[in-house]
Amino acid sequence: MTWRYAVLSLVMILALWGCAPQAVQRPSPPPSPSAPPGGVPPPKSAVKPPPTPPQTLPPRETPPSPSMVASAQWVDEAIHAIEARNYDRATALLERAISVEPNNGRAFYYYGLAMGERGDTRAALTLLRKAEILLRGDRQALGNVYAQMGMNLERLGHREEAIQRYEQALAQDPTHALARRRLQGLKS
Amino acid sequence: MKRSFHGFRRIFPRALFVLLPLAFFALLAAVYTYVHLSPLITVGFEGKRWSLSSKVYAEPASLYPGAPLRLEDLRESLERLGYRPVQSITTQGQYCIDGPQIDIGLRDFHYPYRVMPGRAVRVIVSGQTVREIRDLRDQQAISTVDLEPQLVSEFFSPERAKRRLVRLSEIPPHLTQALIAVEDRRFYEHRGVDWIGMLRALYRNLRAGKVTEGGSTITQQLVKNFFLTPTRSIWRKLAEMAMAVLVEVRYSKAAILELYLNEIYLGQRGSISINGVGEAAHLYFRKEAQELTVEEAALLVGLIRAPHVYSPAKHPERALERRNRVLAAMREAGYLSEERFQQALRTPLRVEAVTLELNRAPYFVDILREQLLQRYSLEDLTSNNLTIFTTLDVHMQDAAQRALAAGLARVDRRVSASNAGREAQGALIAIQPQTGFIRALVGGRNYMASQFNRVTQARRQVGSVFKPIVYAAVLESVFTPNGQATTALTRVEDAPTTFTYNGQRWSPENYDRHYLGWVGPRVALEHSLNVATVKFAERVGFETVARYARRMGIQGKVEPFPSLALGAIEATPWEVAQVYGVLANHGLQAGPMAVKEVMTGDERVLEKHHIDIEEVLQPATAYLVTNFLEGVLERGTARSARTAGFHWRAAGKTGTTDDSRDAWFAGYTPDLLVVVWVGYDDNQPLGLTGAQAALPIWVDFMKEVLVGRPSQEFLPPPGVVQMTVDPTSGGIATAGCPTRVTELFIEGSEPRALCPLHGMGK
Repeated sequence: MTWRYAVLSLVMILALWGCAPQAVQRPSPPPSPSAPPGGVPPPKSAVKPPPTPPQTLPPRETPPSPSMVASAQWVDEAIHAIEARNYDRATALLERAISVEPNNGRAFYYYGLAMGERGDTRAALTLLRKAEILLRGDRQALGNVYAQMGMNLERLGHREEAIQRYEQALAQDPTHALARRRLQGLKS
Repeated sequence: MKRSFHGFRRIFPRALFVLLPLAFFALLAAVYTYVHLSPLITVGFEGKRWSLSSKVYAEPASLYPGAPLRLEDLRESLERLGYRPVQSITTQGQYCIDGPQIDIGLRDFHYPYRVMPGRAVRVIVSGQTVREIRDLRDQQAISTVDLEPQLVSEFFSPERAKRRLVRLSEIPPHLTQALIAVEDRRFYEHRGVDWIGMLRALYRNLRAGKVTEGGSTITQQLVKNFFLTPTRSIWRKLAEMAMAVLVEVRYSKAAILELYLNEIYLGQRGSISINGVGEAAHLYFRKEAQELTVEEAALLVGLIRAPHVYSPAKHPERALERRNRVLAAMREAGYLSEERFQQALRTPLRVEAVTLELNRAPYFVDILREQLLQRYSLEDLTSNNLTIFTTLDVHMQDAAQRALAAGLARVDRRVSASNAGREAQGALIAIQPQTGFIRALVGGRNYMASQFNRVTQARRQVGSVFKPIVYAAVLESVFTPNGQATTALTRVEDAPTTFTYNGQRWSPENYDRHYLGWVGPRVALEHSLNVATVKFAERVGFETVARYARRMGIQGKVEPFPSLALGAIEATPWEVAQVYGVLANHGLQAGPMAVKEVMTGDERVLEKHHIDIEEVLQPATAYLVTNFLEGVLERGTARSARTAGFHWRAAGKTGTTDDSRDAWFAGYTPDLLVVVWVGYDDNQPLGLTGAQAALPIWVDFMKEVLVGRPSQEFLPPPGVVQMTVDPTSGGIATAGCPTRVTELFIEGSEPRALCPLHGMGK
């Protein structure tokens, strides 16, 4: 085994000299061109960057696509229907919005909200989970998502989980009045 | 005088003796007829439930600025929807193309819970994209507008009659005038039976020596169609007359006309009979009944006598002659001036070639029918004018049918030497993963030849399309407390190996018997390495893999043997689509959905289905597997997709089973998941791999439906981190590391320590 330590030491000495050879065959594939957004650029042999800490993948920040703009129109109509407590109409409009742009987090949020109001709390929770993924990076929207999750968990009688969700909502948006009110109610 | 009076006194009692019983029997017969026939008529007329087929609609196409759209496709859609090309639009149901712009008089359409009001819009297309939409009334820009949904199919009763009901108020006066002029000129004067008309007909028939004219009134014809058989007998004629009188006693002329105009048979399209002027106006002229011109009304009325003989499509000269005869009758009856008559005569015969959409997606409709028959009786489904809104995208459905047909023809040509005249079969299902909406479904190469739906019914070995399940189970092990966590940096040796399970030995081989040595899951999946995959599966246990397979959508028998990791189980393309749907949708499974809503003719919503999502995998796991599968198209077994011109970001996996009996490709973009299977029904070897037989079909389909759409990234969910690591040591890369790669990890499973090999470089 000692020869291994010897080779290792040799490599480390060469590395210290700044001229480490490409001695170790890379067993994994080259960096994927399909690396997610914000991916670190390929290493440059001339410059040795310092160790990079783990980075949570950032949410996508791109201008809204045409389909997202079209989908938003359906969502706006659905909001009116929700305000009028016409949940059947609201869900029909939101399904249209999602069909046109299936990555519209706002549409999933209102869909979850409408389903919760209709009394389908389990469906509401999974839809809100999808909204949570799609609305990443939008703190205010996430505050709303977590608050609605809390509401639905309350409906299911899951008090502790509901408290957690309200706290998450406030962590995202400290001014979230609904989350604060419900949290106070549950804790009092 | 006296004598005659005496004569009268003598004859009268005798006549009375004869007449009274006659009158008595006549009265008795009248009472009997009334009592017997009256309820029949009441039921027949007042309780008349037209046998109206149920209509199956696809999802409406949305137009919005930036939407991909070819002008030609839009024109075709409008043609299919029955819109008429005109020079300048004046009403609903018309369109006008002028260079890159198209004006459309959109019709009203009633959806469940909402109405899309008709309006005139201008769509300006630039290249293959909608540039702008404007309301032609106020010139305001419109952000989105829906075309009416396209008809996919209809469920017909055994009569197979197609009819759209119209009210008399919706029928133009010249149509009823043409009818009265030709069929029953004394309609408003008689009481059901036109004795004068009958005598005239009798006289003319005797003179001609054959039956040239019927003496039946419109009411009699209606009674005959409603209640009686077409057999010719004196008793049937008497019953018809009696009933016609009764109908006239009880119902207004307007009610009789309305029933007649909705009932009358006006032609045939294949096995479907065209009944009523509403449907006929649509089929012959692409118009609503109220839009019919005098000439068109005359043509329709002319058809009543013998739709086959006077068919404008088959016998245009006869049809024109008959139309002109009707016009002449209208002039004779005073409904047309001489000038208008002459003008009408000069109008050429013009009918539209409207195709009757009998079934645009037969395998899809079969699934639908089966589902609906669990909730509705056959009679309700075929005769009660239900409107069934589905998730189907007709553009995708057409593309799927084309891609599969072309792909299977290619396969046949390629294996012609070995296939002994057999035809390869195939199946394709396209699903929107976020919603579970089925966008396209083709269950075989020819529905007329085989109704066996290979998407839902063909249980075939899945081969390597199963492998992503293994990696999902393996990567998710980081969430298992005290589990043997596997990350993208975990290595196993891809080399010939014998596995022992339950005392049995098994030595799998890689497809090309080429082994790559120490590999991680990314490379193993990209290159579909068999031995490495079994070793990864072994790390979490085959029972765990089997559990994930069931959880992700495999419904058949799943035994936890080592060969399971290589897809030695049977599943349908439908099940495979569910599995990949989980990966494409951040670990959430949206139940496949075909029916969205069912609505009655009076717009009552009988059922409404919501998007049904279930959490199956952690979002981070699904994202990581997707990221690995992207490499399959970039560097792995499906890289030929790139050389075939598919440039969108996508993830997918090929699959080939023993002796190449089944060829699979399952792949997805962020918005669309498509599974393709190719093989022989008798399970004989196909001799082609998934990349050779199924992938080209997938590529053809995707290229057609994604044209004009930008390539999209897969959205990273929370809980995924990326880190630059030294792939040799698996540690965090330092400045001294000669090779650094950026890799993805489920949060919490990323390396914590610096590269031990080059740590001093920091």
